[in-house]
Amino acid sequence: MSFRIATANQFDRTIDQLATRQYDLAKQQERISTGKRVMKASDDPVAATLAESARNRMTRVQADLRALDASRTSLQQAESGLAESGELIQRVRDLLVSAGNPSFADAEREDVARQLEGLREQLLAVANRTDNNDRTLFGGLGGAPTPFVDLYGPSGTGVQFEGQRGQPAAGNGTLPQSLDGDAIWMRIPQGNGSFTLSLPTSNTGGVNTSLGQVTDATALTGDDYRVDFADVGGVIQYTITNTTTGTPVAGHAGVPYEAGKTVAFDGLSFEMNGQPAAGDRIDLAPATGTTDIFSVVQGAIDALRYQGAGESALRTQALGRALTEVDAGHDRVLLARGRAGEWLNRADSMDLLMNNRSTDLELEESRLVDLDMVKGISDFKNKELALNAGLQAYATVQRMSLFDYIK
Amino acid sequence: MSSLNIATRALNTNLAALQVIGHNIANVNTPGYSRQTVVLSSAGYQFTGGGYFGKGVEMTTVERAHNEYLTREARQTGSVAAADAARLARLEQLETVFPTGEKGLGTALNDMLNAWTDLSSAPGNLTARTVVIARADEFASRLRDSAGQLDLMRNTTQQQVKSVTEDINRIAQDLAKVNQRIIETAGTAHTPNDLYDQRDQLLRQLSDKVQISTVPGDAGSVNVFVAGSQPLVLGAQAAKLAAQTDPMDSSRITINFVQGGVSTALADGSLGGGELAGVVRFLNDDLAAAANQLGRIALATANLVNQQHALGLDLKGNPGQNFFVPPAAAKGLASPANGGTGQVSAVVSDPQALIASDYELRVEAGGFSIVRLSDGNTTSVGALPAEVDGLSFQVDAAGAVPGDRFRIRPFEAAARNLQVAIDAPEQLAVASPVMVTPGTGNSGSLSVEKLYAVDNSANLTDPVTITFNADGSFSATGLGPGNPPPDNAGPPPSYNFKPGQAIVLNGWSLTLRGNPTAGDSFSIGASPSNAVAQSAGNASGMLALRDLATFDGVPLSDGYVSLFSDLGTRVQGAQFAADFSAGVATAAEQARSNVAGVNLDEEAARLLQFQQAYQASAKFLQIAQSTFDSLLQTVGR
Repeated sequence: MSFRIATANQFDRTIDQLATRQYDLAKQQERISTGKRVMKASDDPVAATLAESARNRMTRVQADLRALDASRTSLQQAESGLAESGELIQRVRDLLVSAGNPSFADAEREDVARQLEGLREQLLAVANRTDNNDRTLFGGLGGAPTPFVDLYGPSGTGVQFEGQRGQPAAGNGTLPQSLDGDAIWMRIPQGNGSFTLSLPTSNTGGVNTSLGQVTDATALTGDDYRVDFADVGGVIQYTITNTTTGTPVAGHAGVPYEAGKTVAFDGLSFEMNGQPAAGDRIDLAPATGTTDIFSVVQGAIDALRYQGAGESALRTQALGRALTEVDAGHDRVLLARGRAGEWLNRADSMDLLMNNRSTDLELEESRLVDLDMVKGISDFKNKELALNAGLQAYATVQRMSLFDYIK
Repeated sequence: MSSLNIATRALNTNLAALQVIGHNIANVNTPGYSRQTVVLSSAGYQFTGGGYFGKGVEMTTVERAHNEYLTREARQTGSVAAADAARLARLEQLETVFPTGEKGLGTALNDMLNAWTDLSSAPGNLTARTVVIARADEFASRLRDSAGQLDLMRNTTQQQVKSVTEDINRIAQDLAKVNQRIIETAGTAHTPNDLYDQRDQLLRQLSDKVQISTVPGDAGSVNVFVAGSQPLVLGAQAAKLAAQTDPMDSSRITINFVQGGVSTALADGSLGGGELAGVVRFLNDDLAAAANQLGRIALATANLVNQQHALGLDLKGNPGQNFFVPPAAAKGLASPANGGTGQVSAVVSDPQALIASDYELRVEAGGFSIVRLSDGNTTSVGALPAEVDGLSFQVDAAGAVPGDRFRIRPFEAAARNLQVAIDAPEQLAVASPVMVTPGTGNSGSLSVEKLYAVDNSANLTDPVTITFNADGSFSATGLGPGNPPPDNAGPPPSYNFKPGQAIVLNGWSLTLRGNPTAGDSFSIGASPSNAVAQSAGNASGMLALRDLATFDGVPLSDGYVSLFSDLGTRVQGAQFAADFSAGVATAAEQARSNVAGVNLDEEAARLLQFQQAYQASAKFLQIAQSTFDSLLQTVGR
């Protein structure tokens, strides 16, 4: 091994090394000024990949947050709509109670009926509300832009639900934007929920009934019944017949009528009031389905406007039933409102969670690609020192030449 | 007289030595210069009665400090380092086309898909609709822009290959000329050192361009071989390299060896080292891979988005039109050697199965074989159309004969040509064509999270009812063909239910949440026409694309990650290789240079040494002369 060194090569190498040091220093300076440790993928492919994934997830969380905000706004509007609906129903109830006043004349009843018509209109308007983006608040799973339609036609009049039945569910990061209006206003149990008692308009007497109740659910037959009144020797007697089977109910055939008496058979019971006329009738039918709040109010309005021989009894009967149904309707509104409130609570906690997640992801990205400033500056100092030392050594060593000594 | 002779010879010799030192000092910074030394020897002796008298000094020759092995090593390592450095420089340039973060393609892709989130909250909102189109436009334009930059890089790299090839040819010519001159000097006892240096320097320059191997030839000449065994320079004859565009793929360049009008294609791998090898590898491997991956992102995204968009309904209730202009079928480029006139092409049949590669379709006696060029995987099929890697290969025109070959590049034009086709916000198909209706008797504990179409099934809108059984599983009625078989044989046959997991049947995907109660039922059927304004079902479908395993199992939204991580790894690998080979080359060059190079201090010392010897010789001449003069004076008196 010889120890000679080629002068030109020595210069070349020193210059290369100084250039490398300078490049390192400039690179470190760039890192410090941008605050990024990973500026391009090749600086650290794994960190760059993870950081990009974190950023993708972050943008998605932010998009989800915007969607959540939209859902929350809609839910808040739906909730306040339900509150209004509840108040309207309460006012309907008050009016129904006042309309039962026997001292009211036709004109006063007409006044109540008009007020009820107005309330029904308002109820319908609330149910058809939309959010800021014209999405129905109570359309359920979708359907028509106007979910509740007041329809007049040969197949019957009344409000139809043209939204899409069904309650949208909350997902992992999403909340529903609409409530199922069908379940809120369109599915109110008829009567007491099990059967209805009604009077035909042909009645001339003043008989009416309570709403009735189920005393033994296991004994219910689900059949139709009727109560007929007959004058037998000056005494009004009643007979209950199961019209489905065509047989009289045992123990209730030709029994003398007594006002305020409760009759019970086949697991159900009801109270009969007022004075029937011979030939009057009470129909008892099992509840076949559900009614809606709009028909209930309409039924009350119709009853208030009914003019006929037995109008008082009919009115009492109808208003009594309407009151119960309105209460049931109110319960459903309260239930939906509770659910909306619960979702709004959930929106708050989801908002918090998603914001946390977004922060976590941001931190993760920063941890992966950002420069630790302390370390960065200390590295910079080190590199600066190395360059200085290199320059110093270059200046000292390269200056030495034997030619300086040859005189 | 002999003293005067000795003195004169010594003066001449030492002066010659000083001249050589001067030559060394003068060439201290000349690249490739080997320091020279004068070889001195005693000029013999003369026998006299008084014994053997030396005749002084004699100059044998001037030789150069040179070690053939170190020179060759420095050349070889320098060649590898030049290849790595050239590739790295181009790769670093390529990396700037694919930035990460907000400037990256990934952000554009995610922004485009995430924009549908706002539509799912407000399907009728025209602003949200316009934003979706604008984001998609941004994504498409960024893809086109990236593809344009790749095209530009391809052009400049092809230019670079051509100019490097020209350099190689010029150097080969020069080498042949130097060889000629060396041959002409043969026969003398001395070596033309500076010619040899010039040749070594040319060899060095040549090996920086392309890896060579050398074999000594006749009369001091050297023969140079490239690509293992192709004789680039034979004595005074030089052959040529030619860069030629691949006739089946205009983006690739093949290096041909041309000798006597016959050209032989050289395999990329056989080039070994040198700038040419590095640049060709970049062009044919790295750039092609990046372009294919970019094209795959474009092709897969366009197809998936178009498919999902076609499944939705726009504001007028019509099925969605193409969201992106549908990518055209990739035409197969026929090999110039094809005997038949057939034509083939490929279209995407499954965007999730695509592999970023070019393909070669070979016509064989009993069928076809389809070769994936990235890894050489071959699939043999009896007849076309056939599906391979999510592509459907088909015959456009019959007439291919066995032995014909076609190059098919499905991803080549995809990114460059990506365009958004939708221009009006109301054309966005946000609504779902299917609708679910819960049964009236449902307990209410189970509710619908989302329903959207996932597949263009013929039975999509057929009425289907699913009814839950007491054990929590559900049975479905009204299903069309092609659905998965029930999980449980029954009776009744039923599917297992997992709350929150999509039920995919008949081409729709239904997600239910909650606990099933026996008798709960849901009816799925066509969406009524008045429901489009309220429905955002297809937006859910679009959003679900984000998590669809698309790029070798990587979700669509992370598609860009695999592109730039692959590229980043390439750049990093090239960096390591370049650092390492540069280190090795520096060490080899140092070793060579330490033997051959000039050290000024050494020359200064030698300068003094020979100056003193010269001065001593002059003194001796003076003494010889003065003794001779004294003799003459004595005799003359």
